[in-house]
Amino acid sequence: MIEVKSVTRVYQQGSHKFKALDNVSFVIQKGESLAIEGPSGSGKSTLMHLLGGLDTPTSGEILVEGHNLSKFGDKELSQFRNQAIGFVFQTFNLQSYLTAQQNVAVPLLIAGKSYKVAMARAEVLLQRFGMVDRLKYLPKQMSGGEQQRVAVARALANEPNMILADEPTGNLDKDNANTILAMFDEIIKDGTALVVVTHDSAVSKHCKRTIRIEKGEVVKDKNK
Amino acid sequence: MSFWQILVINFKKLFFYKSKALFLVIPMAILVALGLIIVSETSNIRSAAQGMIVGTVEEQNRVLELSKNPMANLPGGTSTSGGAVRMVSFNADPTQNGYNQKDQDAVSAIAGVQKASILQALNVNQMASSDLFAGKKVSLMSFQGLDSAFASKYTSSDFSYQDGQPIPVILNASGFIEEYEQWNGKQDMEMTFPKAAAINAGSTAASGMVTSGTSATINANGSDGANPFPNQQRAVNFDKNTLIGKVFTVDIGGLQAGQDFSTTPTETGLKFHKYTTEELAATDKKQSDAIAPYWDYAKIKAPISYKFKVVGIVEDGAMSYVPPAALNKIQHDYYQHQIDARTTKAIDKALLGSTFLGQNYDGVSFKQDIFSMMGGGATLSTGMMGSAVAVSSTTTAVAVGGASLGGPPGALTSYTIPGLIISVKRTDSSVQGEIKDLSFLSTVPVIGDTMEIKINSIYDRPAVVEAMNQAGYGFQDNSKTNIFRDLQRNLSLATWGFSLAFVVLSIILIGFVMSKFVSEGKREIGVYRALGMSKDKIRALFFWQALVLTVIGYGVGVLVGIVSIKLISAPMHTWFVDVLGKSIKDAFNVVNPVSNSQFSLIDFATFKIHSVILLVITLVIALIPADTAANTSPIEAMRGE
Repeated sequence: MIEVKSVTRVYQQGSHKFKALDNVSFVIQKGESLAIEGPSGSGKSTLMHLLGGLDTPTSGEILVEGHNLSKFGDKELSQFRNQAIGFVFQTFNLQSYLTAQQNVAVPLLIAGKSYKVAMARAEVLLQRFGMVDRLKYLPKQMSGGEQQRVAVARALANEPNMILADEPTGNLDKDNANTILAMFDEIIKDGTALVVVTHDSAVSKHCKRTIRIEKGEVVKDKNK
Repeated sequence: MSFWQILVINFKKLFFYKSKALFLVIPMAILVALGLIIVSETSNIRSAAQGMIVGTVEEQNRVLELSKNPMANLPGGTSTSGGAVRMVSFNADPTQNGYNQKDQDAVSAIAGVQKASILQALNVNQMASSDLFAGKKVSLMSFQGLDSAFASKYTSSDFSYQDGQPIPVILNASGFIEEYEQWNGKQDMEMTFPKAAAINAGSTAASGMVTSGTSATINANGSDGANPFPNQQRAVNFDKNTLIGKVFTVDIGGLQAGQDFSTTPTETGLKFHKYTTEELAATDKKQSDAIAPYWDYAKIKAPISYKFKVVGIVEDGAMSYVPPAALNKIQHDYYQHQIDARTTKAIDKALLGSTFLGQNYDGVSFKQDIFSMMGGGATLSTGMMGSAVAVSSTTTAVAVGGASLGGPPGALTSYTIPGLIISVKRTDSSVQGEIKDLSFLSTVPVIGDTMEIKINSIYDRPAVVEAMNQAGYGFQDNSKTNIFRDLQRNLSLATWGFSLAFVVLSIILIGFVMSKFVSEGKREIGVYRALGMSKDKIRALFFWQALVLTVIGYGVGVLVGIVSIKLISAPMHTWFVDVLGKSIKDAFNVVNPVSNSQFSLIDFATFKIHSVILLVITLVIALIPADTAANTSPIEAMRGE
């Protein structure tokens, strides 16, 4: 369970201060699927970064199974991101010099797995998502949809508790987007929590709960 | 993530971003290649320069040469070896002008002097070799005995005399002069002098000896054509490389061949007539008739021969050097040869010192006969120190005791007998008789106009020179070996300068390129951070990236450097010989040749230091961008996509 308690995030840009999030509070239960909606600049991505331990709140707390993320050092945060979180980005963010299989294996290698074990697990994941023919392909040799499938497989490499997806279908056509959403449905069924940042209502529909953020504040928190 | 996995990722990055990697690899390779070339070639130049001189600079500077008795008109000219201006005396009375045992002892006693030795000259009438240069007969400069302690200045070979073995000789190239006659197919030639010219009696003009194209004295002013004299001389071209190690024969002594032409004064100049075979036979018979009653003519006429081996070449001064033991043996044999050729007929005292000239011994000094020194028309041939000289056998042009050329026909003819020793009274120089017992030679005082001095260390040189001057042995220390020290210093400066540039350039190159890699790799860093890679691993990733690229650049650079050194060795050799080698030759008496292969040597030993420096620089400099990468905010990094 992840608990967001009165989290505020303020960015300093020179002498100008910008409040990206203002006193946000909510809880994500284990295995829950949550869509975070809101217009551009509303603070959605900031919230996702905080949930993923990529950023720390200016005030407030983010508790993961009771542990305060703000108190984590770099090593603990890195381990948290590696083991507990899986990221899926709008622009896929695969390493261009690694093959599909190697990209999926990276989180496992970071976790300390041997190369052989990591590559074997990567192959299984890619096979699950219909990418077995693309194991040795470099990202530039794959379509956007294929790359995003690899990215989702990568996010699941260490069997995380939660997937954080930031506009995962933002750069995909409708068919590919549907494919990714179908993958998300499978993930949810497996009991992995899914938090999707999106401004696409079609994506929100795949999640049981929706939080709407506007100007850094939660304006709506609704279960389906 | 393990170290090997990080390396694998770096190699994958390297192969994927080949052109980007070359930004570091190529400049690094160039830097390393240049480093190897400069380090190796400065080392090669230093070694070549050192190898050119015999022994070491230190060894060269430990030997000083002190001389006195400046006399002009010596074909060898002056020697400036070791800082002393040396002129070899000729026709001087050594008891008045030479260094003696007291001088040798006094210099030996100076603090810092290891050894002092007066150079003794070989007193013979002539020396020549027909096989030193194929097809040419060259007269050789006289020999001086040189202790092996001093020979290291001229040769690194063994300089000891072994009975039965060729005698080692440090040969003076100044004497590589071939004499020949040029008649242009004629039997007679004439030379006209300008009206204002005057030929002095006893001048060398009478000999008809001139040189062609050499530095020796030109006789007879006012010749109206190019070199009208029959006797010519020319320098023999030689290659030091082929001469060193050569074994050759030297003929010493024997009766000097009479001039094979006559010289007759005319109203306007001189007339030369080449003797016919019959005339030559007649001249020889006259000589034989005079000599044969007292000596076995064939025996006294023939020279004695020795085998020598060239161990060094000297290009200035006038003397060649042999071991003292060899010199003493030859000298003894020279005199003994005359004694052995003697018949039982006694020589009238009136003939000794007039008709028959030799060397005079008065119980103290041992020198050539005074008559051969007179300017009374006796002809002189050059180059022989302390010995009697050849006298022309022409009856009209030469007269002993005559005051001018063209003395009365039938004038007394004198012969120089090689090895004849005449006892004279010291007080009035009156002839006492022949000396046939050579045991007195061991009692003859050591006299010479040149003294070699070896000092303990080059650091003692200034103090020894000062002490010598204080003791009355004037020595101007104009050592030219500074050129060598300057060269070494400049090479060291160049090497240090490059090393510094190498360090600075390496720092700039690695720092700049790696910073660029980090700034361009922000997205990559952000992704790895999002996937859970810690700062330490990010730091390691970029640190090893710098190291891998540097090592690859280093390897390529070493290969390129090795190939380049091989390719430039020939031009380097040419440059060295033509430019630097010339300066070194000017500073030293004897130089060894430098081989082409000297400049293809690679100084890995010194380059190891540069390699270590490069490694340390890489380790230190690479940490900076690696640290920047590690501290890059993952959000900021991914925002840059």
